[in-house]
Amino acid sequence: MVRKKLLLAEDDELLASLLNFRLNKGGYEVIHSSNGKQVKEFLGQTMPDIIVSDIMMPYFSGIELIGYVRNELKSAVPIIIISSAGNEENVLNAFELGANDFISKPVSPSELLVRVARELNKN
Amino acid sequence: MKADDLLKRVSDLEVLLNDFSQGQLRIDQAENLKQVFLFFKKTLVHSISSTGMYHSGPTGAKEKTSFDPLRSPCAENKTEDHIDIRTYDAIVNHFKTYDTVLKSLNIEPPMKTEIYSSFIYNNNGKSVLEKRESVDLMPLLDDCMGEMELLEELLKLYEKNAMEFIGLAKIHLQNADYQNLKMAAHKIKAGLAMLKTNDLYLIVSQMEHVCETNKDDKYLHFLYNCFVEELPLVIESLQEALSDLRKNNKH
Repeated sequence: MVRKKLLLAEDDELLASLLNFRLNKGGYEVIHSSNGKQVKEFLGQTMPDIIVSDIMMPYFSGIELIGYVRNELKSAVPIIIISSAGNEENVLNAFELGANDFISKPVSPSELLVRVARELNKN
Repeated sequence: MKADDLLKRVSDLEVLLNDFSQGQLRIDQAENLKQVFLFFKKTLVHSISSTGMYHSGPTGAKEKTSFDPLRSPCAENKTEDHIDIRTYDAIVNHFKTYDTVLKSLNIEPPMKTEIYSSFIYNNNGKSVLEKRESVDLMPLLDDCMGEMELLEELLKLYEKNAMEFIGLAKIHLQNADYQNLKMAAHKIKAGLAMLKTNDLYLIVSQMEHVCETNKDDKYLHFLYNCFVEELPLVIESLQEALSDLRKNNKH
């Protein structure tokens, strides 16, 4: 069975390690990027089935990433945003730009798996 | 931090608290309020303990003592560095008011927590907070699907992140670069919350808040020092918790 490609854009190694592990175990092929530059480069070459991205990332924020994917790449790939509590304004911006869902830190890996599956099932 | 600074902050908080009524307070606001309050209480305890105001026995006694925030300070220990009794009484009165307000808002009074419950005295008679927070790594081990190696790796990353934060925060403080300090504090919060190390989480949350608001340099230095002092205790607790998990796994 072909594993769905998931781009995980998260610069916090601690969180990324745990999510990477669980998403892999959950049957996804995870491509992890720790900064926006890498994300942009990757997206220029291939489009994953779903993107999970932190809002605050070096060089290229999660907000910029959504704008880039929706407006420049013209892709409707599902995007789930990871945000911290107290970042409500950014979350609203993310939705306005076309994010599909968001999950608050600290992220529960099980919850993320459910949300990822739900977004993929919608498509 | 000086006692009168502390008192001013506590007074500011009181004004904030009085602005709310139970019906107007959302759950997240109540939780934030509680966390801020907890932090201030901790700051107060730390400040008072470092001035040596609390003594349950002879100076230099090594035994653990119960911490009673409303106990009278030892007047004979008063020196220029110590909080004077009037200031102390004012602080205590403020906390009594807070407890009343918190109860009226159905927020659990923070002194129920064991975090602040005990002191230990070192050889110089100076009281320091005893190792306070026990850490439960079981939920994280569940998230790791029982993989001890992954858990150990996460703990190493946690420590690495914390050390990096110390280095970055020091530089940002030296440069009075509050924007980057705020970013650094914001970044580390997720990891601290992930391992439920609440003491450190409260400290960096407060740093982030101060960077956003009044950018009080002295207070930020104080918080930074709190983090530096607290981290080894937290790491020790994490190692103990890890060791317990290993033992349980063998059985």
